[in-house]
Amino acid sequence: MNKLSADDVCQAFIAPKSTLAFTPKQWQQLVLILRHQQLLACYSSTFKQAGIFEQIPKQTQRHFLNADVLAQNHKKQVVFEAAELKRELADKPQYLIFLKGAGYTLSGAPVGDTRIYNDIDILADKKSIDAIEKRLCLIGWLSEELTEHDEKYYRKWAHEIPPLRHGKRGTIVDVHHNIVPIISGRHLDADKFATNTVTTEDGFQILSFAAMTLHSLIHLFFNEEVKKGYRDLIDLHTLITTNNNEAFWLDLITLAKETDFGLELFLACRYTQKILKTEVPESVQKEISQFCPWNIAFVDFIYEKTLKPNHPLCKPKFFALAEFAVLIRGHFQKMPLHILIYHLLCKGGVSVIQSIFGKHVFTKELDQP
Amino acid sequence: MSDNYFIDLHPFSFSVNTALPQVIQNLSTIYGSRFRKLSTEVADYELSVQKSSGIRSFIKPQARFFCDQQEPFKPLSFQKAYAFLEWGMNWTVAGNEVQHVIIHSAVLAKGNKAILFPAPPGSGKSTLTAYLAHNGWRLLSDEMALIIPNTQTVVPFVRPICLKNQSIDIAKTLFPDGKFSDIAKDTHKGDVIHLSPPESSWENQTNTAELVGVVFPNYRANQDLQIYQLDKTQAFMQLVDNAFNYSVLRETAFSTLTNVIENVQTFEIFHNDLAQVAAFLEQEIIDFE
Repeated sequence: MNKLSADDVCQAFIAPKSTLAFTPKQWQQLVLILRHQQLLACYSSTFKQAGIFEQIPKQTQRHFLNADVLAQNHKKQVVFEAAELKRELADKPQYLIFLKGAGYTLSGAPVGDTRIYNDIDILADKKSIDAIEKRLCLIGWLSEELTEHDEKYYRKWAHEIPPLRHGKRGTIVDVHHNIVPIISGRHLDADKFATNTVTTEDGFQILSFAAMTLHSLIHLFFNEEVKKGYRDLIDLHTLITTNNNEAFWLDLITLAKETDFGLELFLACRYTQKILKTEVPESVQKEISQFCPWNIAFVDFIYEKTLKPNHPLCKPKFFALAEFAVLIRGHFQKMPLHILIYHLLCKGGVSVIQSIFGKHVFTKELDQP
Repeated sequence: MSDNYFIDLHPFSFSVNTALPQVIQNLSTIYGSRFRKLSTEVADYELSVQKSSGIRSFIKPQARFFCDQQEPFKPLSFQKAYAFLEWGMNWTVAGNEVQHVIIHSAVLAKGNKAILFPAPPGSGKSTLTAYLAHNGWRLLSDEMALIIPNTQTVVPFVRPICLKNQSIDIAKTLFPDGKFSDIAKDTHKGDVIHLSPPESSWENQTNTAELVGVVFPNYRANQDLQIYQLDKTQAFMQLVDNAFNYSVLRETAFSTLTNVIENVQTFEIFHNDLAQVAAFLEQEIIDFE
């Protein structure tokens, strides 16, 4: 009996009928991999659209149906929290834009249909950040205990303040004043970027689809972490596929050039095409080929491995090496060398101690399952 | 060397990867033939219980619980490993399964008539559960009642009965032949032991039952049996408070629980004698109609 490969999981998304040959054990592996990637509901919807849901083994169907309910509930919860934030912060910032997952959900577009995420991201003008933090604190959103280094990292170098967690509901809000870390020197004029917005029917401010796509691809390719890389790639695929028209591409390319993230746009188109067979118009491919980096062979090596479904069951060869390369590449992009070294020493010290004394050496025993 | 085991617990199944003899031995005591080495079975959830690594594992060893790649809890001291797994199984079901309205409650049945016993820890619920299960009733569940949406039908999810503190000695006296796990000391619930329900409950593991009553039990050492009929609103609110997935299932949960409450008898009882309670339940609820 064959173990499912990462390519099989991608293939199940591209051509759902390929799953009809799966054994029950392979279905079980698919469920494990997808649950780990928070993509169960996404695939459930893919299988339903392809008309093959009924042919899935009953035991597996239940896992997809569970995920459907949880995703629907997630959506309702996000809308509730977003309304709460909008109301509470009505008079504070110049703009309050819902980013990433929350933005997808509030857009009502397919990209947000089955999306599950752990925190709500908002973007506001930098001058209002203090007032927002105080206001949120007053109504129960509090910052969690941070190490001194992390606190400093957020306040001085990051593009967001430390995450705020609602004491009662447990929801987490990330308040951003830029979409790229300040320390990278690549941050953009947030106030200008914030003009690329639309207001939804329910009155929420979100990014236009072009700006949303740009943010999504910056987040994926200008980052040191790709743990949820495959899911993010599916977001990009869905955004591109459902907005595949001239105006969208024109806006996206213009915006990428303005903000100097052409390389990231090139990579997004390259890997959605390679891994998910996303259709990108030829004229667009030609236009963005100017952003192809000199070290494309190396970049291919790391992203062709790390952007595929990532679970111990289906890890490709050299995955760890590629993941490490992403970590190094991301850090180098984000921080000047002297700060990077300092940051790694602070972070690395903790992991060295943990690897010798056990992962939970610093963890206080808390009998609270 | 760690091995893969399979636990068949209708309607869900688990695989457990562990190398810890105490976990394997307790699982085998509690689950009997439903616990075996994994071969070709397809489990719903892949769990594992491991000893934590590093130098600390020699000085003050800890147990870690995983649901596939996820580690939802901080580690516990080593001797609680088996109890930890039991809680982990509850967590896994509560977090993922939404095909049923799940109530934090014991369910016991006579024939196919079932009674729900939702109650907070310390109310004597598990002692009552253990008593009834050994006296002609069958256990459908000790902690999680699975109700099929918009029906009064309860699906069994037979699991061990979790007894705490003083109830441990009482149970060991009452059921000298019972299959008990080791005691997990100093947990967040105090000392805890698991007791496997009698074979008849296991044999009926797949047979559903229909709800006819909801009873909130309270043990009071100095109190003879007192019975209060609960009004429907109170009973409904108490069920909601005890529902694991009420906020997820929303309208479905609301309509299911209102339907249940409207069609069953609802009582709150205070007692210090299990036999009297059993007699009351049989006469007034099961044989009613």
